[in-house]
Amino acid sequence: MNTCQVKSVKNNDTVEFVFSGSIDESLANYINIFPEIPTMTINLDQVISINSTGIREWIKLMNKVSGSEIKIIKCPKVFIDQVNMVKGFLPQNAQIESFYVPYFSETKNSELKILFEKGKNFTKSFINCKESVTDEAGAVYDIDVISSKYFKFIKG
Amino acid sequence: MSFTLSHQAREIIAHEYLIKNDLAFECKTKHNSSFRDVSNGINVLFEDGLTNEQVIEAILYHDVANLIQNSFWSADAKMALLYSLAPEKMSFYKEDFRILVKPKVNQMVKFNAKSNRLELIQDIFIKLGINIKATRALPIQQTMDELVMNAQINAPKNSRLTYGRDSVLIAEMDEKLIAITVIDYYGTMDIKKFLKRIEGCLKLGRAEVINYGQGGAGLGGSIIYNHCDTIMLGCLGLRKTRVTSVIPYNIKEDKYDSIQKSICIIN
Repeated sequence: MNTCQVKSVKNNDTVEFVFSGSIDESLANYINIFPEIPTMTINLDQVISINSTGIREWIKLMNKVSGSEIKIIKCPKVFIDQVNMVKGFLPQNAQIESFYVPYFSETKNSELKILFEKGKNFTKSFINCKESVTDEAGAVYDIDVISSKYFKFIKG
Repeated sequence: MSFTLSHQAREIIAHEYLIKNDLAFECKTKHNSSFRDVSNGINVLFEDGLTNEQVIEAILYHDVANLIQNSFWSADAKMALLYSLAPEKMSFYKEDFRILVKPKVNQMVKFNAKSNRLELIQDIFIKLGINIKATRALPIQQTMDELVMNAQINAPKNSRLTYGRDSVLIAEMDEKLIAITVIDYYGTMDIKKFLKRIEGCLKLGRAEVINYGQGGAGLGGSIIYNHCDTIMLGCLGLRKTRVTSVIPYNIKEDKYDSIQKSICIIN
């Protein structure tokens, strides 16, 4: 019963690891599939959640691949929360290339997740973040995170 | 026999208590005084404006069993629940005891160590009518995950039993709150240890308290506490453990920061 799934996809010179489901104790079953290679990408687009044992297994995984340069893409809010709360969750050899920022419309009771990309929406010293955005129908969505807390990880 | 009190019964109990003690505070406004009641075996401290750390300290070091603050779940509703439990605390451990007075959704599922936790939680979310992938659903999802995992892995491991009765996950939802309950039949929760770990996370940070050895990571309590308005804990040694977390639902992230937490120990 693996509630966490990890698949590897070879992309030119690098390998992309695509995570899905809930990062939990079952991540331990995949740690050995991560090879010692110079660069790798971790795609978290399909991750629903992370639990307490998932936090531990993620840190173990990061320790195992400490010799690789890691690019992490499409990070959901639950992942960014851990980066901000757990020291060492994002090691020095890993960089977040893109992450989602949730916006919410109270009138439509609906959510937009906007992908922030490195170089386009943020750098180490800059973040271009709107307090609200408008969808095609004109509905206003307000940012649904506390900016001072959520973007803390960017400055390291 | 059902132990669930009717809405009317709870209101009567709460009203009588408040009148008797001249404590008819209006919970929609800030109440600035505190009081303590140790009669009727209830041991409750009402406070306002305590930090998350102070709430834990009050329970751990100041002989308080129930610390109540006003928050999204009003103090009078919490008081009413506590005083309704006072005559028969064992009601708390019954599978049909409900936390919210008028839940619009009320679901209960049984599970065991072999149940697929993600599927179980996804199923409950469908019944609650909540999209599990919504960002605002995260506190509920993470709380359910931690509670179910504890009953699936930690409780059997800490028990002398090799086989226990199925555990129960209960989700109640009203207009603004969700109460998530897990009852297991191992009865191995050490409440003091549970609270001490939360305290450790608050004081030292989560990274410093992670258990890299066998068993749980030691962060589950911190995750549950971080999301909750109120947490209710009870353990009957080697018989039953019940943990209920009440969480405001569908509120802006910044409002989570204004939650004044409450803890109730029902033993």
